[in-house]
Amino acid sequence: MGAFLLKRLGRMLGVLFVISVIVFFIFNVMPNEPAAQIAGKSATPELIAQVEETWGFDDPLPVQYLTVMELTFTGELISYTRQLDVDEEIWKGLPATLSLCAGAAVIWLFFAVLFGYLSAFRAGRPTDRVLMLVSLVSISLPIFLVSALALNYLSYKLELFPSSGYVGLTEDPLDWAYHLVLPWTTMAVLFIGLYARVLRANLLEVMDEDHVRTARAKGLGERQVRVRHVLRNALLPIVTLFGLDFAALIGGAAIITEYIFSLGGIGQLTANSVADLDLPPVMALSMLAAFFVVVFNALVDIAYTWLDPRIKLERSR
Amino acid sequence: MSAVKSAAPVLEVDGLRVGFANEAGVTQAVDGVSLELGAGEVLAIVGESGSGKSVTALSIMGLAGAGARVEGSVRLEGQELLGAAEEELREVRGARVGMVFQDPSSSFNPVYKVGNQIDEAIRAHRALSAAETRELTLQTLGAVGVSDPERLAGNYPHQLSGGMGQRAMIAMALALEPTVLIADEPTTALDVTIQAQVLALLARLNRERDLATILITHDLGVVAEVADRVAVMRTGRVVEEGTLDQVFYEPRHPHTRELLEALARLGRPRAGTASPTGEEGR
Repeated sequence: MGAFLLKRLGRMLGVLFVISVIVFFIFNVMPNEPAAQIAGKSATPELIAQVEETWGFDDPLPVQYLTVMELTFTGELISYTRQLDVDEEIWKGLPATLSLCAGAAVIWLFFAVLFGYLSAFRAGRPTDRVLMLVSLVSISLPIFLVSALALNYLSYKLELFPSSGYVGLTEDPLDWAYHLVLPWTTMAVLFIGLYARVLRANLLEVMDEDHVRTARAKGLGERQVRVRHVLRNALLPIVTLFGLDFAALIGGAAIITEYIFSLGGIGQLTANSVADLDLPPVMALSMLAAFFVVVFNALVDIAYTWLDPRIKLERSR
Repeated sequence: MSAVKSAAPVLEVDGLRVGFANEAGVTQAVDGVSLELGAGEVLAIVGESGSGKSVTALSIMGLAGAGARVEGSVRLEGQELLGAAEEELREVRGARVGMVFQDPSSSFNPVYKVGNQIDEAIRAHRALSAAETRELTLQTLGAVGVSDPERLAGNYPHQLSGGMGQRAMIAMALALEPTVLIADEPTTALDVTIQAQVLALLARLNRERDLATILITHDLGVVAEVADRVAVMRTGRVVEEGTLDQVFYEPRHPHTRELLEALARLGRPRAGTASPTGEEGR
């Protein structure tokens, strides 16, 4: 376990290094005048030159890279356009993103397992066909369309839910959930369909395995056979899938939902920073996203050794 | 082992037919099989793959699958099992009829410890405390010749050797002292030396517990070791049935003779074939 964690930590540092170099490189090949951005619209060439000097934009690129990295890890990164503390901005956005993703994940896992289970054990029958059709539709619907429809009908016309904004969980838990119901649901729609279909396929595969016949032959009830022996084993691949998807979402992939519902999460922050060609927040956010992916991958691997005793951490690559 | 046949058979299979519907119509896997099994008797069902022997065994337990159309009659100690309610069948499975399958490495659920899986079989039928359940598990593992039951119970299936796995499988089938044991190719996946041990174990359990045993195999060598009576199956039918001696020494059906010749060939070159190396007929 210790060796595994050390190895993963090493790999994480490698990934973060590569990501940071790529982001930095992209920013420096793009037509991009950070000094002019900082100096403002009506800045004189002298002012721009002065800004260049104080911010170190005239240093050689490797030195600039090291400066940015130093600031990133000391938490002193300041955005070029608005001169805001990047760390502070990220901390402000993180609760909204985490709330959105965690809530959506609970909803999508619950319904995906329910639909996948019902489908698989009624394979070929009407329940299965209807559920699989619904899943296919839910996968095919773009998230912005679902959000727009939900907003139009549930928020503007029926006025059941607020259309935007995020309320902190600690401020008012009820209001927090109330503001998030729509975003949660719309984001979960896609994943419910996807996960239900994957789980159904896994269940059908496990159902035919020899050990399930053994479980029946020893006189277990049908429900026990299905839950303890079929579902339990079929959930394993879902864990991998979930780890990757969830990490990507909290790393900024929830951007569309955040944007539409004005939640002010880190996906939205990423989008704004990229639009402004603002290197410091993009650098920090990219590394944060990479960090989430690596960490969740490690968590999935650890969970796997516990869920499937045939797998050992030492052997996993 | 002498065939001591008691007055009333423990298990009677009468006119069993099992069909599987598919695109091409119905495939009749078992086509009118009738068998009788007395207490303490070992009945071997022999046949090539696809002859319907495994489907026969599974149908006795009501485990032929949702797609199977089963007709005929299966009576366990007088109780009709075909068409019985699912709950009634569940009470029979594991408690009155135990079943051992071919490959222990795939017949246990890979994610649970072996001991827990045996516990589970016991709990499905008896309301015992956790400690009592585990006690019975360990005791049964000891009875099938596991030297360190405690350790084996704590292992996961993939950690067991084939022989140990099959002993654990047999223990799981016998923990509740069923009257009938159905062993479906129990030695096929094992090394030859381990095969002999497992067969000896089955023979001993049959003797000690007066266990009526159905042994399904394609291997006549296995049959000769332990069977009292032999039923030869082909294309879903029993083509010949009799005591071990009858079937081995006075086979009437040509298919039985073919199977016996295949066995005999293993030891020597095929009769009538000039084989310079003497290795033919493998």
